[in-house]
Formats: sequence, structure tokens, C-alpha cells
Amino acid sequence: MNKALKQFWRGMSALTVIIFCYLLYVVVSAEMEDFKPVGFGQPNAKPVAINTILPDSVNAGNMATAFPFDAYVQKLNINNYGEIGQHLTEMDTITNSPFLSEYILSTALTSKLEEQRFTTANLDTLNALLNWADGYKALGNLHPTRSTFFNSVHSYWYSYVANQLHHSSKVDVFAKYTFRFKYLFQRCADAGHYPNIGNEKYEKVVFNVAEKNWAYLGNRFWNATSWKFRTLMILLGLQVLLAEIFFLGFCLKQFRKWKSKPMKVSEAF
Amino acid sequence: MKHLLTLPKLCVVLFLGLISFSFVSSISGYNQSFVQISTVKNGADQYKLVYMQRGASGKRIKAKYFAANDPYNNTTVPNRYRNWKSSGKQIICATSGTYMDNLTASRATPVGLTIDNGVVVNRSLANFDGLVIVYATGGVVATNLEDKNLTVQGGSISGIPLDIRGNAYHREQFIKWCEDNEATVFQTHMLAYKNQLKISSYNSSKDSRERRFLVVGTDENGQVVHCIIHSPQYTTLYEGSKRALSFMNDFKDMNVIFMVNLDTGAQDFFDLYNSDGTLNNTITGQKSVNDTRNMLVYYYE
Repeated sequence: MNKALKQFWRGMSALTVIIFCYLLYVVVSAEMEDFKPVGFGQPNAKPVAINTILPDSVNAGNMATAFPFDAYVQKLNINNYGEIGQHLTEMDTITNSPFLSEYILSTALTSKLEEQRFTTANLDTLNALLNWADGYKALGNLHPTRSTFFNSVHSYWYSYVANQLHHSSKVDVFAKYTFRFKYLFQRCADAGHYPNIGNEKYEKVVFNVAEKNWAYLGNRFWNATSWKFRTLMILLGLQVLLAEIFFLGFCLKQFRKWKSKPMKVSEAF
Repeated sequence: MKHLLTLPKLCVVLFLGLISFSFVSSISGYNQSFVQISTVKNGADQYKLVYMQRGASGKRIKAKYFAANDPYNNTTVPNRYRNWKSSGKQIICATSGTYMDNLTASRATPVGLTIDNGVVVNRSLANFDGLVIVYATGGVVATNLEDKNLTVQGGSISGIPLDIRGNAYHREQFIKWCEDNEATVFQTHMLAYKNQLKISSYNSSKDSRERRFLVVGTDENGQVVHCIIHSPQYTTLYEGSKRALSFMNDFKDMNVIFMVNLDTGAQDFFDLYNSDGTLNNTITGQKSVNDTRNMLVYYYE
């Protein structure tokens, strides 16, 4: 029996070492890599003049509905903030309304740009988008009369990234624990755009256990789960309880055996 | 033996008594003829209602929303509520408002676009269709963002239909308007709008839990009514809203303008008061005021 017990403890020790090594591997191999650079558009492309993309049928009266958004977004070099500023001035002369010019260009640089280039985006692209959007925030501070336009572009893309983070946390529940995700989350939060990451059910259980909200947990367990889940949990609980009783009985038996064994002279002091 | 109270002293005592009486009566509570607290059974469903006749009360029943810490001294939302309440307000009820993004209230932020008295709490627009505006006058309106026709009064965007979900420029102008006009705004699920159910079983949470809704509409006399409807039975969001809408339409004869969801999750807070200012236990939340990050309060003034 002693031999069996020794073997059991050896087995347990080996299992503990294996689990520890696995946890160490998980911690060490955690995603700590930096963001990969992502480029938007053509860095050396020639600036586009608004007049060259406007069809003859477009005038100040129908500009809001007839503006060729697709052609404009396709030709636009979004990295060139100066070009966008130039377009604003050109649009003002055509429309005679800064409100309308800003409205049209804001639409082009937000929802239309998203439709054409960013229907999906990985974390590298999201990070690059935030960097790019930050340029608009700076321009908004520099040009107070245009701040609504520049802030609208900045705000749109931060909101877009916040929503993308929300979606990726729903697709992969562990995504939110990675370094890059947390970094983007914090960037959005710092800008006042709080991504709705929420909490998974298991996180809620852990939180309420830590907070000792037993009545709340009991209430939720009994009322908000299916009878199948409740039966399974009760059976599992009983199984654990029985295993514990068996283990305690075994320990007690071993202790009694050890106590009843006659002591050697060397062991007695 | 001389009289203890001479005539001048008696006058002073009477005067002080009159002042204290008027003071106590002014803070003792609301006019109960405009607020009905009841528990109603409709078939197998049970509802607990706080039915507030804002129109009939001459708009003396008002709403106030708390979501941001005080920008000047960083007082938290629960403390702001306590301070405000202790300034002699006749509270009808206080409930947790929209959802929060963290289980710990002190670290949480309300989900979706949230602005408290012109202070932007969260700029991120969530996917919920309901945008609730609480006016300084105590009125509450909600707009269905899907309809793309949000209109506000005053400023350069007065009367212009705004699509704040689809258009970034509109959204920025709306936020700027809220800041300039010290408006209060929050986002939540729009469950019903103009008597039409707005959610389906396919696009809503399948989780079952107790439900609490804010319903605003008009009664059979055309007077504006605000109602908090609490369903203690565990239902999905879709089932709960469907039954509640039907109950309000058929049983209460209410023309529902909008019905939005109130959080009964990690910040399930609810305080209800009788007309004499004492606590009423008809509806209770499972959490304390300290666990809430944003709250909607109804009071009588």
C-alpha cells in the first residue's frame, strides 16, 4: 500500500510540474509583438483636383446627392492631409457653402471610405487607422472654424475601431486579453470612445464569487439557467462532494494505520 | 402664577410652527393622485408598475439622468444623486439606466453615446436604436436612430433631420449641440416605437432574466404618461418586450410612443418612494446605489 501511495504522489508531482510548465509556456508565449506597419494609398500619387472628378451634371444645387463618392475615394490619397485641405477650399468655391462642403467631404472620408476600403480590418490596420485619424484631431485644433469637419472624421474612425474591438471580442472571447487589443482599447478609451467589450458569463460568475454575491448567484443559477444545466451542475456538485468524502476517508484510514504501527527506537527521540 | 407663554411669545411660537409645517409639507412627498404604484396580474404574467401622469400633473413630474462624475469636484454618480436628493427633492423613483461596460461600477462607463448635462461621457455610438434625450425641463423623448430623422431645436442644426448613425458630420454636430445646450443623452435598446415592436427574437439576447422598461406614451385622454414597468418573471428581451407592449396597449389603453430597456444586470438598482417620502418595496433592485454607473430619476417639483 505504501508503494502505491508513493507512486500516487510521484504521479501527482509529475502532473503538477507538467501543468506549471504549460502555464509558463502560455505566459511566455503571450502575444507581445508590436504592430506591423500598414500603408494606406499611394505615397507618391499626384494630388487630385476636385474639378477633374466632377461630372458636368453636378452643380451646387445637386452636389449632396450627385457627388461621385466612389470615384473620389478611389483617387484620393488619404495620407495627404494637405490635399484634403485643398479639396475643402475647392469645394467651398463650387458650393458657396462651407457646411455643404464639409458635409460631403466628411461623408467621403468616413462611411464611403469604410465601404470601399475597410469593411474588415485586423488589429494592425485598426492601429494605423487611429494614427491616421489622430492627424484630423490635430488639424481640428489648428483650424477652429473647420473643427466640426476634422473632428467628425477623427470621431468616426475612433468609433469604428471601438466597434471593431467589440465585434472581435464577441468572435474570440480571449482576444481582449492580448497586448495589442488592450493597447487599442486604451487608445479609444483615452479619446472618449469606450469600446463595449462587456463580460462573458464565466467572468460574471468569477466576479460575483469574488464579491461573495451568493444570493445573487443562487438566484441567477435557479432562475436563469435551463433545467438540464441545473441537473448537470447538481450532479457534478454531488460527484465532487462524494470524491471529497472518499478522499478524507482514505486519509483517515492511512493516518490510523500509521498511528497503530509500532514505533522504532530510532524514531522515538 | 404667571403664564409661561405670553402673547408675543405665543405669536412667535405659532409663526415658527407655521413655517416648519409649510417646510415639512413641501418636502414630504409628491402628489399621489398623479402617481400610481401597483402590482397587476395579466394572465400568467405579473407586472409591477410606476404609472406617472406627467401631462395631468402639469409637467410637475420630471426626469433627471445622472451619468458623469461631477466635472468640477469629481463627485461620483451615486454621491451626486445623494447630494441632489438631500436638497429637498421629492423623489418618486430612481433606477439604473442603460448598460455599463464593466461589472465594477467605479471603473465602468455607460455603453453607447452618453452625455450628461453637456459633459460627454462616451462618444462611441453603440448599435442600439434607442437614443433617449432627457431635457432640463424634465421631459424625456426617444428617437429611433434607424429612422435617421433625429431633430433638435435651437442652434445651427435646428429642425434639420439628422442621421447620427450613418453620417459622421451629423453626429459631430449633434454632440456639439449637446455640449452647447447642456443636453443629456443616453443610448439603449429601442424595444417599441409608435406601438410597433422593434426587436425580434433573432437579433436580441436569448438570456432570460427579470425585465424593466421605461414606457412613454399617452393615456386614453391624450395626456402624457411615463411608466416604469417591471416584470419579475424571467423572460428573454424579445418575449418580455412583446408581452409588456401588449399589456400597455390593451390593459392600460396606452398609446405607446416608445419603450426602451433599463438595465437589470450588474447595476440592478431601484429605489421607489411613497407619496409621504417613505420607501416602497413594490419594486426592488438586487444591487445598491453604489453599484450603479448611471441612473434615471423621476421626481415631483
